Amino acid sequence: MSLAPSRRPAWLNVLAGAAFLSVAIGAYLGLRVSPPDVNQGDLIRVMYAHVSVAWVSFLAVGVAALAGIAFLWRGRSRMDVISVAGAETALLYGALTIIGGMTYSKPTLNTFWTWDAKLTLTALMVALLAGVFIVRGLIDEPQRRGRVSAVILIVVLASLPLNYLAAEWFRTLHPAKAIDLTGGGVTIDGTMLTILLYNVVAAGLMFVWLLVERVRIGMREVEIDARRVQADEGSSEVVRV
Amino acid sequence: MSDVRALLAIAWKDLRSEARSRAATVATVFFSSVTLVVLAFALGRDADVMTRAAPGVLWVALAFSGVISAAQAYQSDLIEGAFEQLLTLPVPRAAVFLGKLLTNWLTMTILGWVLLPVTAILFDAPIGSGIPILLLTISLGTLGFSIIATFYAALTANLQARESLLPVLMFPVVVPVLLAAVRATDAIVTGGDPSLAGDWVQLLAGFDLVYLVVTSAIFHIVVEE
Amino acid sequence: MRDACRPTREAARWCVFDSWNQWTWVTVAWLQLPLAFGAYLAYLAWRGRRAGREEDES
Repeated sequence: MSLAPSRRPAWLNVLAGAAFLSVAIGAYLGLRVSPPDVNQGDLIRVMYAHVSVAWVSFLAVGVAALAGIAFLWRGRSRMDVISVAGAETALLYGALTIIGGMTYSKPTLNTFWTWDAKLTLTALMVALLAGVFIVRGLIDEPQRRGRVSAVILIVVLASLPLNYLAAEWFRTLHPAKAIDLTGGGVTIDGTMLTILLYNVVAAGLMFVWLLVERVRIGMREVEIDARRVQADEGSSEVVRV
Repeated sequence: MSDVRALLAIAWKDLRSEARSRAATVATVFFSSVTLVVLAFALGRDADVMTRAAPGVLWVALAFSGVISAAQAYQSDLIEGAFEQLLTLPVPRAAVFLGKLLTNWLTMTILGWVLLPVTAILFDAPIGSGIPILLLTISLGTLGFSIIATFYAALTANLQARESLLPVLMFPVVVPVLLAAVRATDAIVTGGDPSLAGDWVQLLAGFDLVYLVVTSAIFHIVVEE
Repeated sequence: MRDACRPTREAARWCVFDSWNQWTWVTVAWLQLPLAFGAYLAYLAWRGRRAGREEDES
């Protein structure tokens, strides 16, 4: 099979265009079309950017973990590549969620950090994903690397609901500021909900496109390494993650 | 040899080697003492703050010491190549995991039970009435901690930089256990609402169960060659 | 901006953010998206170039 740098298939360009366009439209909806909130005024527009990426970050972790499990099941390297791609995008969206969350809570609650269950969970998820990448960087052999990474992702997946429950009960059994940063404590009317959902879909489209691009590059690397092994040059000197 | 006997034999072997070497014991005792003293200095301006901080301080000292002893659990095995030999035995991997877990859990629980009165005294936190349930809570908390520590210690045992990697991998996973343990300890010590303490203890037991099942099921992948 | 800070311990730490109005915060929040996506795309481009170099070598 030739390894000529593959041209982007047409549908991928369409997906990219759709992703950028929908994010732009989502921004327009959030910034211009949405009415200001009764309580938070124009700050509600931050919510659209923050909540949409939050939801997609958890979708990404799910994709990473499921692909890892599929890799454990069959050992196809494509599954491992999808798993890494999912983990990378989950890290990206998770970091966005945390910084966006801080940008939201400082003007509304006058503090950069509340131990809100969802934000705490996201912070822990980012820490967990960092661990996945560190371990992947330490293992050279692709099959073993993929299997260990999948195992860690399984533990990560198991810990996410537990972390959420723990953080949630910490807040509710512990009288303190219990303000819902997703806009639940804010009167969210029909228009706002529609705009929020639209932004979620836009963030999701962007995620899918980034995932596909990352998987393409990853599969290319897999083929390069496989060729190297066949030609008996040993595995890549480059550190693959 | 039946699986349970193998499990106990592994646990017994580890306990005996630890009793002989004392390396882990000295490290954990020293480390937890330093933690207690430093936190006492840091919080010591306000007597009320110290009393209220006591449950958290206890678990901070336990958690840090637990990480140290977890890393130690595999050291002696690796040096003599005993771990590979252990894996050649016709024993299910889960039995190896549970055997090591048992030792780790026992030593950490003993440390916790010892730290309890020490912390109570140093931080002026009366624990008179709730001692049995406190001991149970400590045991459940150390169990959850040990499950995760034993699992990840095996995972990192073959990698470089394992001493620094173990806490990095462990701590986000161990958060629900630590949180429930601290909350339960706090609820018991302040003694306001007994059902609240019961809730947290049940939650802790639930977390332990989930982690135990998941890690036992996938441990064999971690140690395969 | 500095003279808007009151000399209490609490206010002094974050007072640079007091002068931000709501639209400043909204802008900062939405700018994070292109920054983050752009950074990741740059990373993908770098990785793709690296793969291309390896291909040429092999």
